[in-house]
Order: sequence, then structure tokens, then C-alpha cells
Amino acid sequence: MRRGVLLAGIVAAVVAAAVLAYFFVYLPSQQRGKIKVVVYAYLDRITGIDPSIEDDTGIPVIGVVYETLVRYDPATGDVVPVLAESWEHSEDGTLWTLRLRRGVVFHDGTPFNSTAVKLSIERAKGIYEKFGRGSGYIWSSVEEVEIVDEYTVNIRLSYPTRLDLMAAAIYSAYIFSPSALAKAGVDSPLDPELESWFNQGNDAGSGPYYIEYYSPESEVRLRKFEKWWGWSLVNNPDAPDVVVIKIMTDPLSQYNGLLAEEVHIASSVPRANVGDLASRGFKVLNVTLFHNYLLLFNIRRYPTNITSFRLAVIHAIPWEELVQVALRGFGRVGKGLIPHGFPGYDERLAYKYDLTLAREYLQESGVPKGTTIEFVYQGEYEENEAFAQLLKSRLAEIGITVELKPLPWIAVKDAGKAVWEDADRAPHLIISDWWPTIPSPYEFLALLHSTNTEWNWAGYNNAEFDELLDKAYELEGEDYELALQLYARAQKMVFDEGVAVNLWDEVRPFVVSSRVDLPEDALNPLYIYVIRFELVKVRD
Amino acid sequence: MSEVKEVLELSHAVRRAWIRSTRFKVGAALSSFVLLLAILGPLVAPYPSEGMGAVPPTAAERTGRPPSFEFPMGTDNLGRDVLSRVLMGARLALIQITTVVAASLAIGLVVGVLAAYYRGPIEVALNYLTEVFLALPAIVMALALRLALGQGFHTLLFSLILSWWPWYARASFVYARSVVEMDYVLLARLAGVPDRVVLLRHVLWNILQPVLVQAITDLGSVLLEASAINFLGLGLKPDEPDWGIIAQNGFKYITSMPWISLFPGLFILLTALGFSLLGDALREELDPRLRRRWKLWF
Amino acid sequence: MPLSLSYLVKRVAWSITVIVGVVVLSYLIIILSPGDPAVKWAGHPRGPGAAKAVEQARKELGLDQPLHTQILNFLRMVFTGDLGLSIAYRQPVYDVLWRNLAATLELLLVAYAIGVPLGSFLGVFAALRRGKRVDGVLQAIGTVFANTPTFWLGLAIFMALLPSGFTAYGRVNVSLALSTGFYTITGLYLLDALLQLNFPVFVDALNVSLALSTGFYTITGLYLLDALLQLNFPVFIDALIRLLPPALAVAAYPVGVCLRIGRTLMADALLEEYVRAAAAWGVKRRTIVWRYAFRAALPGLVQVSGLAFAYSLVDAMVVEYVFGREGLGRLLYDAVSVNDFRLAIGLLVIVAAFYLIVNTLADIAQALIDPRVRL
Repeated sequence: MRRGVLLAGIVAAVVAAAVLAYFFVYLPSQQRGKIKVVVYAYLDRITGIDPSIEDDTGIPVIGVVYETLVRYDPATGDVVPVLAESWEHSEDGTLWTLRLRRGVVFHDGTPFNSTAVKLSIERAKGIYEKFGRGSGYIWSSVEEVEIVDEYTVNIRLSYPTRLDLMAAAIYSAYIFSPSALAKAGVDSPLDPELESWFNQGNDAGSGPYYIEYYSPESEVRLRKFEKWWGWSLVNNPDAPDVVVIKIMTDPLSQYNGLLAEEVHIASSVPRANVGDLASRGFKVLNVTLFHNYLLLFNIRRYPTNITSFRLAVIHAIPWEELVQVALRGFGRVGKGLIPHGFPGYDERLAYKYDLTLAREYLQESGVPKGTTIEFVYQGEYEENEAFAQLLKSRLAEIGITVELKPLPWIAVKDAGKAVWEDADRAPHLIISDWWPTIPSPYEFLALLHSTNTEWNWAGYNNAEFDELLDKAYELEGEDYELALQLYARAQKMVFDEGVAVNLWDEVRPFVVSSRVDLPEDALNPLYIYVIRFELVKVRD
Repeated sequence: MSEVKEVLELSHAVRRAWIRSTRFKVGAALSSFVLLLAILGPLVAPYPSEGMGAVPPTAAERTGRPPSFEFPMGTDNLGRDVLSRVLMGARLALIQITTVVAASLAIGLVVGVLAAYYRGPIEVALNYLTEVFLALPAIVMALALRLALGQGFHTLLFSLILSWWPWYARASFVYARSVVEMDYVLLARLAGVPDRVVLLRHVLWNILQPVLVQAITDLGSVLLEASAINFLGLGLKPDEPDWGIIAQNGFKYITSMPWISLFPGLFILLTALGFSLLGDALREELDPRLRRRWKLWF
Repeated sequence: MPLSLSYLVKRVAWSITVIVGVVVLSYLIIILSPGDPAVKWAGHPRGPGAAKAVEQARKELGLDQPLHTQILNFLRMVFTGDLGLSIAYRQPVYDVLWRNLAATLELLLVAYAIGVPLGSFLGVFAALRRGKRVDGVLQAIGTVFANTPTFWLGLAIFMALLPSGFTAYGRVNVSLALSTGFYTITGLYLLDALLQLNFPVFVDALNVSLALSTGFYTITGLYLLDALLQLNFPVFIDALIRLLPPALAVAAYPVGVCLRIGRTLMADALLEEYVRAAAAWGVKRRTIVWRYAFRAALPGLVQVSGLAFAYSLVDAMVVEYVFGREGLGRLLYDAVSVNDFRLAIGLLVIVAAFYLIVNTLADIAQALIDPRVRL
């Protein structure tokens, strides 16, 4: 009899527990599943997210979390308003008046106004001038930023420039909230503590998404900012609520991620698998980016200090084969130094693949056969690895031995910079993949400016070239056509001497899951790897 | 003399194994096949330069071809003939494993025998050293050495030798200990025969046999570990024609060109299998009781 | 009691001295290999903070002090769990190691839970039919399995799964975890945790970022266990499905080894006098096989499994790389790409400790099972 009661009691308890669990654990968990998540697989670790200083792989984050005054549209070659609604400049181009958008707030609620603009520009400029960091050089013509009223700013320049193009830069042109200073506990915007504050994952932006979780080596999570000014304009109710930018340094993992539905947008699957993904119903957007891969010669070290030797090597580069084999078709043969579609691009500056000519140059240079040269490149990129093997084999045919040295990015940079301290320690050949900050030919040509010891890994020091560049940069505001002519002359100089060559322009296949709609205008070849998630639609 | 007896026993065992054991025959066949590949490979390979990593001039037409009559193992992403690469890899594989096993054997024998012979503090110290290295698997050593010394043959060699020698040291120690106790050794020492001679002629020679047989089996195991280390990019440089490296290159293309990784892996399997069978069969013939000392033999 | 306290104490003391040796060895690697040890320890930093980072590394290692002080200092760092921040992950080295060790352990445990019983029973099966064709075939299979390069098997399984579109990638589906796990409703984490009866998170609301980033709260690091503890069945099933293919790849080796050793030991046991006597006395066949012969073979199997378990750590790391799982294998890859010496040394120490622990446990298990062994 007692056993029966006990049994009934147990059964009742179990049933009660099950019912409770159903209502308090199971049901709520089902309801939660309605948030729209988009996972974007990104190949490189985030180097930082300081809006004034970041100049490398932090771009997919800052390009979404922060906003610039204007945005560049490569189709028209002009800019469209973002935080600046309209602008005009004086006859002589030295006074620009900007009218700012109203009703914009930063993520913490502080209002956007001219104080924020003044602070952001001055900080980017100040840090560049004082510490040489970031891309604040875009503001180097700015003499003074004057606050006229809450939504009007006067910018006085020391010489005329295309300020509108400068303000559309992908780095150091972002506007952040002045409240960041108080939060970071600093008085001066130039205080290095502020940079640390930013790089801990704090954001002071106004963009459609804010940072919820920041782990630069594995993932950055962004959440929809409901008070963004642009939602009514964009009219996209299917925009994601949560965006996860997942760092996946292995292309195959990105591929796996897509198949496993872990990843919805992948920027770097192995190129050989793109066809496979397309046949499985994934959408592929081939975007030609202003991102190219430059081969630089160490002109301070034997034998690459001999012009005819350099030309010998250049003519042994199998241009077409390179795109077919190393890039599997995802690229365009490089011309000159500047990529397709970018101001200053000159398609006449092309070399031919000609081994006979190469041998002639080699003989002319007097360099004996069997000489070994060192080639450093970032080993994690499969394109570099494939190209390196290809070049090695072709150069072997004309009698030059290449020692391949794949290195991680940090080491590549160190190796390149060494050309200024001890040229014999720096490699003969090195690949620098480059993308521009502003839409100006200066961005690519300045790589070989003699004062650019950070990126000029060729050790090129040509006064005439430097002069051309400096003059052209200053002239852009006054006489754009003349500036372009000067740039063209400078580019031809480099071409004739064979100091650096553009191997290929990148065509990046963005592979997208069928659950997500990625419109073409969410991608912009200048704002490299930035996806404008406010335009992305998530289906269910 | 005892050493003559040992040699006779070994050759007897080999003959017996050849007659009685299928395992031995299969193992011997596989091992000699690989040895043949290693020696003749460079001569037989249809595209030896591609085997060593050069990209052919007609690469654009030939990338990623599946296995066919023209390319029995297909071509890789840069158009190179996989068969040639695998053939070149045979030589590299054998060089790696024989160097590692020979060096580990030598070091292990010396350490184990000295520890057993000289007892006392030397024994304790050497045993301690053995234990420390026993606790370190090759792959983790390879990581540390890769960071310290960079990629290359030396990294692979050191990490493997440093993790294998303790096994031989321990085995030699146990065997040598029992041999050292034997009467004739004691007599030799009492008679004033110099230590060196005693060690070499009596102790070492007697324990050589079982340890050698283990070494043969180990050739296979070392190949498996070395391939894994190369596959993870911790050992040889990526343009060497090593089977593990080729498999790693092919890993990126596993979905579109699986043959690049599959064939080298198959060869690793066959080689390891061959040596393992060979060693097993020999061991069984020499002393069926040895099998049971699973603590030492593995 | 087959196990004495003094044995345990001796064993533990011995293990600690071995670890000390390992740590000293790793320190020597840092010091003696080419390059400035401070730069190596700081991970070859670049950029504005580089000089500061190198200085700090120099102070940490105490390079201006005599060698024995350096070594003692380093030992202290290792044993107090303070190796600094990993360069690849910017989190404390030990945290990273522990998290990934749990992942690899999970893989190994499941693989061995499948492999050892399977291999052993196949071995018994073969032994019972020794001499016949089946025996030969099974032994051959065992040898092949024990000699298959694990990365190759992993690749083969990975490829076999591809046509189905399911790639067993990663440890858990992030979106699934995010949407069924802890999700903030009110924005007040403590309150949310109470409302969802999610007590682990309630207790550790400070670590909410961890909870949010994996979607569900990891308590032990073993996802299967954690999912069960949270009654999160979708995640449990998902994690299990992703665990099986890599586990199968890792299980090949123990299957092969246990099959061979099991067969050998069983065959020997079955030939023993007492077995024949028992058969003559009419003891049931099943009892003889399992209660007598298998029991005799068991100690050997346990010992071998223990050794194999330690060895399989290497295999597990390779398989993790192939399947893109979190785990020690991933650490190898990441440590290399950023010259993360701290992580490498931490890994060395942890793995060595792992080996020693496993070997000790195997010996203890053997003592408990085999009445002849007395420790």
C-alpha cells in the first residue's frame, strides 16, 4: 500500500518537473530563436579599431560602426553625402563650408554635431603629425576647423585640395563622439590611453551597428543600432539584428562554414571551390577591388640593383598564366602600379612574358647564371604561394635560382623595412599587397616615395620622382587634370626602371548563403571588405 | 662466441619467418617496393623536375586533372604531376625515417647501457633524463623547435629524435641490466678487461638483437609521426616533395582535387604497414615471449 | 589494498620532478635558440607598443639575472599558472590551454569509448576462432588500422561526408547556440538569468561575454556535458553529431591496437591449463571466456589502452586541424603563425603533465584490475 503511494508521488513529481521544464525552459528557448543573425567570415585578424588611427585589417568593423562625412562612389567618381548633407567651397578652394546632418546620434546617445567633427579631424591629423601613425595625412592641408554653429563647419586649408575626396577616405576620416574622452578618462585627444580604450572593444560611433563583443583574434559581434538615422531611408525591415564578423584564417574553414550553415557570407573560400559552391545553390558576387599585389625589387642589393636584371626578372613573369593558374581566374592582369578603374590607371604600362627577352636582359646585366635571389611573401595567402612557385619555375628556366621564404605578415613587414637599415638583410623580391585610403593615384605611387620608410620596401630614392608626387598631390585641388598628368609621368618612370610591378588586381568572390540577400551596392571596391549590413536582407 | 650466435639466430629467424609467416612476406614485399621506389624514383618519374616542385610551362592547361592514363595520379593545383611528386617523396621519406631511427637507436643504446652498467648516480641521472623526454611527444616539441629554429629538415629531425630515443634507452636499460648481472660479464670485469671492451662486446651485442627488431617496426611509426608533423607545417619547408607536405598542399583543394592528398597518404600507409609487418613477424620468430612485454614494445 | 599510499606519493613526487625537467628544458630552448629571448617571449611584436612589450618580456624572464635565478623564476611562473597573455588570443595562456584541452579531451574520450570496446571485442572474437580465416582477416584489419596515418583517415572521412553537404565542422553550430542559449531579454543579465532559470550564468554574471559568445554557458568545457547540464538538447545532439566523424578517425588506432593485443592475450589465456581444466569440469563456455580468460587479458589491454591514449593526443590534434574543431591542434596552427612562444611552452607543459597523469592512471587501473600487481 505504501509502495503505491510512493510510486504515485514519484510519478507526480516527474510529471510536475516535466511540465515546469516545458514552460520555463523549453518554450522560452524556442521563442528566442527569432533573432536574425548573419555571420561574415573574414580572413585576417583585426589589427585595431581606433577610428583615427586604424589603417589595416580593422576596416570591416570600423566601416560599419563608424561613419564618414561623405562616401566615394566609384561609378561616378564623385562622393555622396553621409554625415555631411551638403558642402561648398570658395573660388580659390581654400575655404570649405560643410552643413551637417541633423538628428544623428552616437551609440551612447550623445548628439552628432560640429564639435564631434572638429574633434575627429583634429585628432586624426594631430596623431599623424605627432606620432606618424594612422592616415591623418589626408587632413594635412587643413589649417583650421571652425565651428560656425551646431551644424555648420568652416574648414580653412593652407592650399587647395579635393577635401571632399579626402573626407571619403577609408581610414582616419571617421567621426566619433567626444564623450569617448570622458569615458576613457583622458583630457587630451592625443593621449595614447584613448587608443587603448578603443582597442579594448569600446566604440564611439554613429553607424547602423554597434560593437557588442570584441575579440580581435576570433570574432567581433555587432548589434543593430535602432536609433540610426538611416533606417527610414534604407527601408529594410529584414536587416540583421546581430552581425558576427568571424575571423577564419583558413580558407577551407570558410568553405566548411558555408556548407555547415555556420557562415553566411564568406570572403575567402579556396578559389578552386567557388564553382562547387555555386552548383550547390550559393550565390557568388565577383567584386573587383582596388586591391592589388605589388612585387617590389630591393634596388639597394646586388643583383636587383641592376636595372637590366630587374627587367629580366619582370619579363619572366607569366602574366596570363598567373591569373589562370595561381588565381584560378579570379584576378586581372596588373598594369603599371595602379589597379583597374582607379584614377590614374594606365593600361599601356604592361610588360610582356618573353623568356628570350628576359635572357637578353640577363646577359646585358652581367649577372652570372645560377645566382640565387631571396623572395619573401606572406605565406598564408594561397595566391602568393602559387605565384611564388610559378615565378621560381620560370626563373629557373633562365638560370636564376629563387629561394622562397613564406612568412607571417608581421615578419614580412619587418623584412621589407630592413632595406633602409641594412639592404643586404632585406630580401631581393617582396610582395606587398596594397589598398588605397583615398581615391587618388598618390596612394599607390607614394609607396615608392623616399620618405616612406614604413612601406617603401624597394628602397627607392629618386628625387625627381618625389618631386613629381609632391607637386601633383598639392595640385589636385587646383588643377586636377595637371595633377593626373604629373602622376602619369611618375608612374612611367617606375615602369621604365622596373622598380615595382603590379602583379594582379584582385577579384574577390564573395560567396553568400541562400538565406541571405547581399545586394551589389552593399559592397564598394574602395571600402575594401566592408559590407554595408544595413542593406543586407535575411530570409527565414 | 656469443656475438656469432646472435647473428646466426637473427639470420635463422629471418629464414624461418620467410618460410612460415605470410606477414613477413607481405611486409618484406611492401618495404622493398618502397625502397625500390626511393632508389629508382628519380629515374622512373615521368616529370622529375615537377616532382621537385617546378611548375610546368603548360600549367594553365593541366591544373587539377583527375587521375588518367597520362597522369596516373592526376595533377595538382599548379599542374604538376602528382605521380612524380610521390615518387620523389619516397626517397625523402626513407631518408627521414632511417636517420631518425638510427640516431635515436644510437643515443638510446648508449644511454641505456651506460645507465645499466655504471649504476648509482649515473643511472639515476640518465633515467631521469629519459623520463623527461619520454613525457614529450614529438609534435609539441616540433612546435617549440619550429618557433625557435624555423622550418626545415633540422626541426623535423630534432623533434623526432628527441622524442624517440628514450624508448630505446628504456628498453636497452632493462635488457642491459639483466645482461650485466650475468656471470661471464662479472668474470670479464674481474679479469680486468677494460670497461669499453666489456660494454661493446658483451653487453651491447647481447641486447642489440631485440632492440634492432623494434627499430624496424619503428621505421613505420616514425613515418606516421613525421608525416603528421609535416602535414601540420611544423617540419619541412613547403616546397619539399615530402608526402606529408604534398598532402598538406592538397588539403586546401580536398573538395575539388582530392587525389593530391589521397595518394601520398596511401603511400604512407603502405610503407608504415610494410615495416610494421616486417618487424612484427621477425619479433615473433625471435622470441614469442617478447610480445608480452607490451610496456616496452609498442 | 593493491595500492599503497606511499606508492601514490612517490609517483606524484616523481611526476612533479619530471615536469620540472620539462620546464627547464623548454626554458633552455628559449634561451639557447637563435634570436633575442625577450623578443621571442614577446612574440616578435611590431608597431608602437613593440619596444615596451619587449622590455616587459625582458623583465618577466629576468634576463639580467644569473641563470639559476632565471630558471627558478620561470618555474614559479609555470607552476602558478602565470605565463602571461597568449599572443595569438590575447588571453591568459592557461585559460586558452584549459579551454582547448577540454575540447581535445572530449574528442579523445569519445574516440576511446568507441575504439577500445570495439577493438577488444573484435580481438576476443578473433581469439575464439584462432587459426581460422576470420582470425587472419581480423588481425590484418587490426594491423592496417594501427598503421593508418590518422590525418589521411580524417581527410577520407571528411571527403566522404562532403556529398551530403554536412561537414561535421566545428564543435557546435554558433547560430543554434546563440538562438537557444542565453539571450538577453531585459539587458539586465542577472535578472535575465533568473528569469531563464539559468543559474550558472546568474552566479557568474561577470562572465556574460563568455556565455554570449558561445551562446550557451560552458561550465566544464566539455560541450556534451555542459549541454546536458543545461537541458539544452538541440545543442547536445548537434555537438554529438559533429563529434562522431573526427572521433571515428581517431578511434582507428585504438581499434587496431586493441584488436591485435586483445587477440594475442586472449589466445594465450585460452591456452592456459586452468582454462582447459575448467572446460573439462563443465564450466559454461561463456563464463570461461569472459570471467576467466578475458579477465586475465584485461590488465594488458588496460595498460596498452593507456599508452595508446597518450599517443593518440597527437592524432587528435591532427584530426582537429582537418575538421576545423577547437582544440589543442588549432593552437599549434595559431601559435606558429604569430610566433606565440608562451602558448608553445604552456602546451609543452600541459601535454607532458597529461602524459604523466595518463600513465599513472593506467598503472593504477592495472593495479586495481590485476591481482598480481601490487604497488
